[in-house]
Amino acid sequence: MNARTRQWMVAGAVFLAVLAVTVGWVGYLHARSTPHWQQTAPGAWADPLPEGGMPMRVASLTTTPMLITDRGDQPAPAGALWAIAVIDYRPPAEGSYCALILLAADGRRWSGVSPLDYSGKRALDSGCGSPAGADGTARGELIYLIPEDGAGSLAGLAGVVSAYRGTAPHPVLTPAR
Amino acid sequence: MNRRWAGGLIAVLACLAMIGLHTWLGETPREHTTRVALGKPGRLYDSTITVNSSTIGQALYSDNLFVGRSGVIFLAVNVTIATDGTRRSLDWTVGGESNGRSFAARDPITVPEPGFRITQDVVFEISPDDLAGFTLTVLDRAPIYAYDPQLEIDLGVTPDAAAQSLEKDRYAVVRTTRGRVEVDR
Repeated sequence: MNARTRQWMVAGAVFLAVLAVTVGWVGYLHARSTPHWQQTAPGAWADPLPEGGMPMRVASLTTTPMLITDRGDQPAPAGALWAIAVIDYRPPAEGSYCALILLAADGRRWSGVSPLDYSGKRALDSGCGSPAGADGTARGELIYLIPEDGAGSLAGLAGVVSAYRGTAPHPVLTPAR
Repeated sequence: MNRRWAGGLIAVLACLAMIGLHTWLGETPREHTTRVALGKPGRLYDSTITVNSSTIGQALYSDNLFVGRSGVIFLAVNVTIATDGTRRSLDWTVGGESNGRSFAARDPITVPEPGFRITQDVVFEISPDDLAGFTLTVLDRAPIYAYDPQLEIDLGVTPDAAAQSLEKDRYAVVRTTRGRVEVDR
């Protein structure tokens, strides 16, 4: 091997090393910024919140064009549906709060509707602020507004994923029914 | 120069190049700016925004509620935002620029959830002199940002059009809406 060939080989090796580090770094950043969802068994308990410490399950997830409250029926906008998730949770002694997103199989995700966005009160409390019962669990509901074309592909509920997330999978609570 | 010194020189030059590149990247804008015409949709990460029209006046009503009266003028820019991507963007910055000055919108903008759109007014309080050439700016920040999309939408108000508009509507009532979400069909 002459000197010129050796120089080209060294240059090529350096180029490949730089390329490998760049590809590896970009791949790592992409993996960190792309949430990896892991579907639970239907109705199974999991701990979806980033801070942890509150196991939850989705007892049911239903869609309806009309939201029933003590002030009458609240229609969804034309072409939209209310998605109502009933959740069971085991609140810690210091109190609880939850903000879960509704995920569709195509990757769309919706944030919950505030109780201030509709008129009246519903039978179940909104969110996860209720105290635990004798068995250590409480029940609440989360309400979402989704387009009709999303109703057939709802996957479940997941915790709000922060921007600087790890590469660990995030549980998606699959409804029991 | 012998071979040993040549290697050292290359290492020093490589370090200087890295420092220069880092400095340059730190000074350059982190946004990818696109100019969009009035009435045309501009693309952001998961949404589009279209500027429909603009109105001016001195008294401001929002959804039929009196908001206030301006010592200068209110400029209301009517926009439609549609989220056709997978998630609602949470970090929008909406502002305006004219005559080298920057303006903040009076209220935050509402970005709809996926599959929905909303038509609403973005209100600025500006000097009459800044009406001509006013440009709406919209920046959509990602959590880890680099070259985030920024749109510049010229309202198309020429000095002559601004003069005519001020003569006609300077003391008019501006009726704005915060909008209602509807399904994006």
